[in-house]
Amino acid sequence: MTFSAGDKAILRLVAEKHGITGKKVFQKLCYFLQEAEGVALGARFRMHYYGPFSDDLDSQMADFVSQRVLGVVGSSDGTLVITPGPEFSSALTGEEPYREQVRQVVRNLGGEGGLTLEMLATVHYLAVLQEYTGSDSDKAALVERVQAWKGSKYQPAFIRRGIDDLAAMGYLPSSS
Amino acid sequence: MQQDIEQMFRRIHSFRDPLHGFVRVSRAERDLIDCSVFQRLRRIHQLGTGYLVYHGAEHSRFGHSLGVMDIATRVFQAIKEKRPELLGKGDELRRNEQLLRLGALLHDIGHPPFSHAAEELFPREADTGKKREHEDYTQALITQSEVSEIVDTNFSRLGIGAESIVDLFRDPAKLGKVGILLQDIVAGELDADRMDYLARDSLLAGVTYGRYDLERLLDTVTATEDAEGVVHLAVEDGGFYALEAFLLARYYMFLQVYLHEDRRFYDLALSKVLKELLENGKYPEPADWQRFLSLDDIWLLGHMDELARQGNEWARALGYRKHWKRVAEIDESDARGDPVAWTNAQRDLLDRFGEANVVVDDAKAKTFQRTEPGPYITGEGERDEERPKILVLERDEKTAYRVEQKSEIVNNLGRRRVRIMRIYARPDVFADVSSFWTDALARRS
Repeated sequence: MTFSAGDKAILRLVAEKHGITGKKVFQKLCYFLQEAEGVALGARFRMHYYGPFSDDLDSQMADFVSQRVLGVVGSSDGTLVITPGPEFSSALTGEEPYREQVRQVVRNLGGEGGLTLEMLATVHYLAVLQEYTGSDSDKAALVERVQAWKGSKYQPAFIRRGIDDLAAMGYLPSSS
Repeated sequence: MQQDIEQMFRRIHSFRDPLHGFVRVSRAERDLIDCSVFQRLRRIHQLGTGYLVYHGAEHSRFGHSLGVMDIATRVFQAIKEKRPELLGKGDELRRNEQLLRLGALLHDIGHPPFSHAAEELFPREADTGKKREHEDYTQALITQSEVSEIVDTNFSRLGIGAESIVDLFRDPAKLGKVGILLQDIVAGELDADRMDYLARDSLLAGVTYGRYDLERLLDTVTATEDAEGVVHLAVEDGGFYALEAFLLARYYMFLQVYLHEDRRFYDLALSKVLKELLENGKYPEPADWQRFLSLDDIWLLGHMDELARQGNEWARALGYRKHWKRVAEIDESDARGDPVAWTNAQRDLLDRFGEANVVVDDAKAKTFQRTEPGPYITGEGERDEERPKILVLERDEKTAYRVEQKSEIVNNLGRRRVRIMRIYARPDVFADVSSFWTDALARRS
């Protein structure tokens, strides 16, 4: 199996996080790696049950597991943890041009759990579609759109805080 | 004048369909169907090169698109009966139904020749590396070709423009909560697209794998809210087994028809022929949709015939049905196989014989969204889950459960990705390749 720069970025992300709990966190961190940090993963994201999801990325992760570059381990509370596999170190040889972007995503979002990441990724995805400008009316409209997709899962105040946090990270269209 | 307008929307034109009997359309929709962009779908095989294996599978995307529209309408009508508050009233209801019909009708107009056969020839975005998909071409055609003019002329009085059809797929929340439900009907896990193509492909290929109780599924389809109040398509408890059969049908059709070993070889051969014919070996960008529209199956077959007469071996393989034989195959979920050993041995084989003598196919499909953890308590102390939401409504109609909670078969489907890797060899070296492969795999295992 050959590993592109994007592949290595994904694997470095798993390493930096010392394992990733659940596919949702994996998908969302990779989402921000590509869509906010500009790392070319070649993944197409579309809105799914738990926010932006990429079939390409899902397939790529399965390939990594199949080739034992990544492993999936069950933990006692029923979660699955994505970890480096036996062939992991042989995959991360040579240059890694996206190392700084991976570190940035881990710094910005590495401490967030799946629920929050789902909200943040949903906000970001819809903000890009909406061509968010940062105005009050845009913010209100964005909150409404998130609620259309998520129902009562997130309180409006939580969504607004998410918008502000993403803006502070420089991840929203209006903040670039 | 009002009478003329009403006449435009009465569904008085019929298409006789092998699956659905009669598909009825209005004058306004007929204008769209008669335009050259939509008529091109008659020249795109629904099953790509599948007709080379199943000779009855000559059907086109044209019939499938009409079928999806018909099924989507029936789903809409079912929800209207059972959950009338979800789809609006009066003009809003009418608009929503028409928007759904148009989205279903046009969802495939951006397909390249032979459908999914050579998707790796789509160009990639320069900065992100994202590969274009047929949906990108569909969106370009809806908003920029004659389709846009017809939609704006015929449907603007209902508040529908070309952009609103694209929004149905790209940004349904722009249409409000109902937009998300409408998208679910035409592009979800339980959508009209799958309902039609499974039944149609099965019927016309002459296989039974894709057969399921479509009528029962349509009779029991409804909509319900999940735990967060978001509305999803669902099936009533009485349709549980029809739903289970539908999900299994997809699984079997992938394994037996869509990923058939000979069909996959023909797809590979087609891809090689297309690479020679296309400028720079890639499809044009979606912005160059006029050039894209000139590419259909007839264009390809005409050029392929010429290439075959010139001695191009891939064109000859396609034109004269001279597929290479399979040397070996591994199914990822088969516990007897070792994908790592396979990949290493495959590299040895290619080093020894080269791509002129050996081709490798890596076929993947997701037949059911893989089951994931849940519910569980996150590090944030919250209850969370990641399971898909194909919902079945309890008999009390108050609560819903996930299909895999009751169906062990479906639950196991979700654990399995379909991935089949195959190696094919040129006929004159088949014996040597076979022998080398056996040794290589043994060395690498």
